[in-house]
Order: sequence, then C-alpha cells, then structure tokens
Amino acid sequence: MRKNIGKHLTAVALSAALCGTLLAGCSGGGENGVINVLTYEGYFPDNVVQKFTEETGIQWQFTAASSNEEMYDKLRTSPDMYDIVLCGDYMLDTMVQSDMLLALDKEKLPNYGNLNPDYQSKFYDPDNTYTVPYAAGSPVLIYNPETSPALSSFSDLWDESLAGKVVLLDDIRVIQGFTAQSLGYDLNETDPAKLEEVKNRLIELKPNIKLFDSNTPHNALVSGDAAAGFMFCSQAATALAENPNLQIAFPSEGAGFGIDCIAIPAEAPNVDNAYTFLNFILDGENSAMASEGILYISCNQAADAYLSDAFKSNPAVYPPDGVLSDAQFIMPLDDATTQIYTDNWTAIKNS
Amino acid sequence: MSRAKVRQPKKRRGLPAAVLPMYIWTAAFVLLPLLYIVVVSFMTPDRAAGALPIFTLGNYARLADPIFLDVFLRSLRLALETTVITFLLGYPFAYCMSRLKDKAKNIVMLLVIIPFWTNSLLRTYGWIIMLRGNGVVNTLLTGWGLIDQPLSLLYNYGSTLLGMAYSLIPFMILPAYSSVEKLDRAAVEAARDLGAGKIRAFFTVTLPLTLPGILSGCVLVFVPSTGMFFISDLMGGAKVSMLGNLINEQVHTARNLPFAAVLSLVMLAMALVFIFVYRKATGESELEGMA
Repeated sequence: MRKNIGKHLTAVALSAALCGTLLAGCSGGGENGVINVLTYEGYFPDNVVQKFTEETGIQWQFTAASSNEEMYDKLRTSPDMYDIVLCGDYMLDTMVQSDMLLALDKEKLPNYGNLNPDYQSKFYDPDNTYTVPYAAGSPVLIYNPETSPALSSFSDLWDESLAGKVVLLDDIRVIQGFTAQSLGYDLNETDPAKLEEVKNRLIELKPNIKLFDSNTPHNALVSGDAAAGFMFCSQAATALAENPNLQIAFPSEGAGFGIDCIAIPAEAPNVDNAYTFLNFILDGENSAMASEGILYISCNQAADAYLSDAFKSNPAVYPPDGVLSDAQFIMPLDDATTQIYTDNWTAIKNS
Repeated sequence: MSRAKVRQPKKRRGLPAAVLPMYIWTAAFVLLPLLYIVVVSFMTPDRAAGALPIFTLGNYARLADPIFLDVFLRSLRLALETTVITFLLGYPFAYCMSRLKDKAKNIVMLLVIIPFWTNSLLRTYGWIIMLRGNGVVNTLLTGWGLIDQPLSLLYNYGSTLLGMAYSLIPFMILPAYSSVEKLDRAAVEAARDLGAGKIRAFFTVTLPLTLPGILSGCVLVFVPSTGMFFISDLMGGAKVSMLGNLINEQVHTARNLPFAAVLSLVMLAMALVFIFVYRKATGESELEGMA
C-alpha cells in the first residue's frame, strides 16, 4: 500500500489538472454575451480589455497563439469559434485568399474614419474590405554599448568582437530576408542560388549567435547573456525600458515593415459583438491606450492626441523620419520557395 | 521470478462489457490518429489544403537528405545522453530512498512528485532565472568574489542536457524505486554470506534483479526525450534543430503536413526500437512500476 503512494499522488495530480481544464471550458457569458478573441498573448492589453467589458457588458474569451501560423491553423480547423482574429499582414493575405474573413460593413463602424490611411490599402487588402490596422512596426538592431561595438547595419552583426553575444529572432523569413537584403538581394528573395548564399552567410554568423528567440529575445539582452540583437520594435522597447543604456539602430540596408490587423472571421458566431469591439478599439482614446500597452506604432490618427510624448519619442517604436517610407513587407511566397527557406533554416541550425 | 509466469491467464468468453469503453477510447484516440498520420504520410503536400489525396513516396524519399539525418542523430544523441544521466543520478537516488524509514520515504517521494504539479514550462523558466547572466547563481558567485565576470551558464549544450535531465528524472526514479523496493534483501545477504564483497554483491545480485525497473525508467525517459524540443529552444537557445523542431516547422511554416507525418513516424519508430530492446532484455511486456 505504502509504496504505491507515488502512483496515487500522480493520479491525484492528473485528475486535478483534468478538472481544472474542464472547469475552464464551462464559463458562462456576460450580460451581452461573449466575444471570442484569437491572437498573441497580451496583444490586447488588460486595461483595454477591462474597459471594453465594463462599457459593453460583453464577456471577453481569449485564445492565445504564439505565431501567425498557429492562428491560421486554429481558424482553419475551427472557423466558427472565433469572433475576432488579430494577426500579421502576410497571414491576412493567406486568409483573404482562402475566403476565411468577413467583408466589413463600415456602416457599423462609426469610428472607421479615425484610421491613418498610411497604414491602409496594403497588399493583403488593397480595398480595405476585410481588415482594420491595429499596430505597425519594424524589427530593429539593439545593442549594449558597454559590451558591443556600435551597430548601424545588419552586416555589423558579423563583427568578430560579437562572438557568442548575439540574440536573433527565431524567425525563418525575417532573418533570412534581412540577410538577403544585407547582401544586396531582395527581402523576399526567391532565387534558390541567392538563397544558398544567404544560407552560407548565416552559417558564417553562427559562432556569433548566443540564442534564437522569437518570444522574449529582450530578456537575454537585459540579463547580459547577449550584447547585441535584432528583434521586433516592441521587444526592443521593452528591453530599453528595463535598461535605458541600450542603443537602438535601424539597419542601414533598409527597414522591414509589418502591420498587424484585426479582422472578423467569415463564420464568426457573435458578429455583432465583434463589430462592437472593432468600433471600440477604433476610438482614439482606446486605441492610444492599446498602443502604449503593446509598444507598437499607432495606426489611428485620432489616437495622436492621447499618446504621451514619451511614447511618441521612443526610439525603438518610432523610427527617424523616412526610414519606413521605403520599407518593404515580408510577402507570402510560393510553396517551393517556402520549402527552400525552411530547409535552409534547418541547415543553418545544423551547422 | 517473473510475475507474468506465475499469473494464470483467465479464460475469456467474448468481450466483457466493462472493458468496452477502454477499447473505444483506444480506437478513437490512439489508433485512428495513428492511422491518419500513416495515410497523410503518403499524400502529396499542399500548402492551402495541408495535403492532397494523391499517392506519393516522395515524402519518404526526402528522409535521405543529409540535413535531416543530422537532426535525427542529434535528437538520438540528446535522448541517449539524457537517459544515461537520469540513470546515473536517479538509480542511486531510488536505491537510497528505498533504504529510508517509511515516514522519510514518503516525504522524499513527495519532494520528487510535487514539482510535477507545476507546469514544466514554468519550471524551465525557473532554471533560466537561476542561470542567466544576472541570475541567482552568477549574482551569488560574483557577490562572494569567486568570479569577476558572470559565467555563461545558459544557451549551450550543457544547459540543454541539464534541463532535459531535470524534467525527466522522476520517470527514472519512480520505476527504479519500485524495483529496488521489491528486491529480496535475503538474496543480497546470501551473496554476502557466500563471500561476495559489497561491490560484487551489488553487480551480481542487486543490479540484475532491479534491471526491469532500470530499463523501464530508460524507456520512460528516452521516449519523451526524442520529441521534447522546448527545453532545447529555451535553455539551449534554439541554436540546433531537434526532431520536434523539424516537425513543428514543417507543420506551421512550410505547411508540409505529409512530411511532418513522415517525421512523426520516424520518431515513433525510434521509440518502438527502444521498447523492443526493452522487451527482449527483460522478457516483460509491461513497464515496471507503471503496471
């Protein structure tokens, strides 16, 4: 009996975990029903969500995903489970192509005019039929001047003094794209021979790399494990908030650009609540609150009045004038090229 | 000696209703998904639909590419090293634990199991907080003046091994402990009476008699380690691809479901080979301590 205690404890632990999961599944709705939201963890800040629930009586039900690809998979396998999806530009393109999104009825969005046209009519939605831009940003170089030489271009990461000190996004497209750009090729290069060069160039960078991390690359920079890195602007801004000595630079080879947009899935179960939320987040004050929370460029003109000066002058979030004007998007690629990017990435990791 | 031989098999008439739910469960959640993976592995990759129902062997042909072979070998090596480390640490631990008084035994057992109640990702982050540049270990060492510069303890192969062994060691301790508990001490005493030294008695009596527990622990550690990649990602800095990473990338980025299915079957084959060796070595069909 006694020697079985381990087995019993394991069983109890497992049943407790199961009960927890079941209970989480059966929560009721608010007075005005629910809204099911699919996006990255923390991408709608808590204070914004709280305000929305208080103002509308709609209960917020959230599903976290760790990548655009994961959101696509979730939406594809359960198209009638989500009312709001917030994801990146190239994935929106795929979703639009696959008829997964609802054409928005602008009549239901009185605040729609608040949007900044600079962030509209992009490749994934040229007529602004499906998407509402929410946040924009560019990946940036960030370094600790005490332990790293000053950086100004992406190629500077190859500097010998940075051996074992660099943190990079664990992102197949972004890292290979920027390396291609630093070699004078396109951010969305498709020529296999040039991609081979990119692969070899990145293999040369391998001794400098301390770690790849897409979710929390700023942590390694703050803890001192890395001296320089390349990461999304919100991550760089988080690092900067914790260590103001860190320096930001936009790669001289050219910036990359991304816009994350909100959309309503074509089979959303609570479409009215989804419109209520869209109109809420398009309000200038609410939008400003969200942008300050997530540290990305605001896509809302009406928000400008509410954004703090500290936020508007944050070097990690708002690049110097002109940097973004000729910035390119990471574009969707055909199957064969995507496979080359994936296989080359495996080879880079193998080296 | 073996329990299986002592037990008389009962005669069965038809399918007892009591086990029917188990068969349904197994069919629905084990057999069908497995069958699905096998079928998909022969289908033609398609980004939009995931897979097209056109027969091909091309997905299997890609396995011959040396870049994938590297990944298999690396995953295999990490899994084997993890197994050896957990054995070297876990077996003596289980042995000593079985020698404790009942009360102390329960406390130690609780200490082994309680960390299981926390999410393994959280425990991994715990290690990162301990080991990072300005982490607990480095702060203490520099504080005591033992080192000038913080040591680089994270994001290397050693920290990956540490994380793997830490996460999986209970799976070694529990079956090994169950085996040591069952060990007939009289057999060890007899060996000692017949003139064997402590070490000789251990290697000729104790070790062979507890082998089923050890091997069962090895299976329970090895099989999950072939697929675990979040530890290599978080504590190893994601600098190398493991089999698990490869499957993840094929599903999410390349959206090549058929090749991901092939890779999953490779992982399954690695586990099956290991379990086959276990069954040959012990003659047991059930894992010690888990039956």
